[in-house]
Amino acid sequence: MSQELEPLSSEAERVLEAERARPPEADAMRARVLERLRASVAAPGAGAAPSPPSAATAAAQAPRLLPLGTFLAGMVAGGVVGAVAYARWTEAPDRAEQSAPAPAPQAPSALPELAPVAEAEVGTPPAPALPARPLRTEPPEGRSADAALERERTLLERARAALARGRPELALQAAQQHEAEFPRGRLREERELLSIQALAAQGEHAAARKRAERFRRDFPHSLLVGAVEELLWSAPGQDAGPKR
Amino acid sequence: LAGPDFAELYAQHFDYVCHSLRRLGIPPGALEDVAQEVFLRVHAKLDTYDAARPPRPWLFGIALREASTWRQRASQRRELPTAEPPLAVDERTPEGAAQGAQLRRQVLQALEALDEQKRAVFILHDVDGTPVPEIARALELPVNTAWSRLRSARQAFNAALAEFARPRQELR
Repeated sequence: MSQELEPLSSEAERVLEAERARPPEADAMRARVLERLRASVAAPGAGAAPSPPSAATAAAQAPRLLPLGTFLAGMVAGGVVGAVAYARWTEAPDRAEQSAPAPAPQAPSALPELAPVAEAEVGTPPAPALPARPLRTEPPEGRSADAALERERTLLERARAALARGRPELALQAAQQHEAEFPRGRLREERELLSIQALAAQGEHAAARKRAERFRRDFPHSLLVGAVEELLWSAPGQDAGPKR
Repeated sequence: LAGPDFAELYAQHFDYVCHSLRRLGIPPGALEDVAQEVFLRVHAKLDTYDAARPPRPWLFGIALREASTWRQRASQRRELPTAEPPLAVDERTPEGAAQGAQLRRQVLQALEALDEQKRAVFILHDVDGTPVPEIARALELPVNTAWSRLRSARQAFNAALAEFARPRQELR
């Protein structure tokens, strides 16, 4: 068969040259997508959210997301939730074949991809979106809800970044701000986990334990509850562990 | 064969995937959503990736399917955005890049004149520079079909650009 092609017009060549030189996407967007990938693994509703197609996708892919969760937890520089989710997945009986040594959160220095993304960039007002709900199908009144979710995520991202920088006091500050603004926020489980980790990082193990017990009481079926306990068991000076 | 891992693909090809999604008609307001789906799919399919092949056509094939899914769902919900400016990100471009942004806008508009199948082949060949046999492999097409679609796509693209230029010429 002849493979002769009609040549592109000179105008077509001109515009396509510009298209080939399209500038990179914003770093903030790159970071947000990464955060959402991580959230789709770690978010409590990721595997159980109703109708949105992406939630179904996430649920279907969940077992395969273990390495992704591990990777993303590291990529988000101190993001503990991915690793925590990993730990929970490996505990699940139907995923026994996937069990592997639970990885510790990686050090920020090992994650060059996200290093250039400044906290301020991550905190810029992102496009409204739910972590595990890729289609933006909300009615107009739903946009304010999504804006609130974005605000929640921004605050928690600050907390996570502060933990990664070894500044647990700033992480706690961000978590407290989240609690003040969203006492019943959709990401409160993640906030609590970050708070517990920050307290532990500050050496305030008694406060961390107390908060962990409250977490277990408030969220007995949370994906993260076992990981919270693991954090406490591994805390220095821990002799009794959290009460079962 | 030791292929690229997910971190490597994400770091090296995030821009490529997003650019491809824009070319496939995903509006800026949905870009993050669809990019997220693409990379979830990439991870799920990583073990099927042939490391001997270039990654971009493979990634494009995944982006094409996710873009198609998005368009179908948006269409069902009558949410296909038409009024949204196609290059919101380029509004931030520095002085001197404005013309480039305008040209890229024309490309996206002209691509809208192509159906999805032709558009995919055209983007891979005339934007990305992918050889036709590689395109055929990535899109799981017979090579002759890929050539045929490319021919049709070029005609349609040239015609669309000429159509855009006509009103300007008539005004002169």
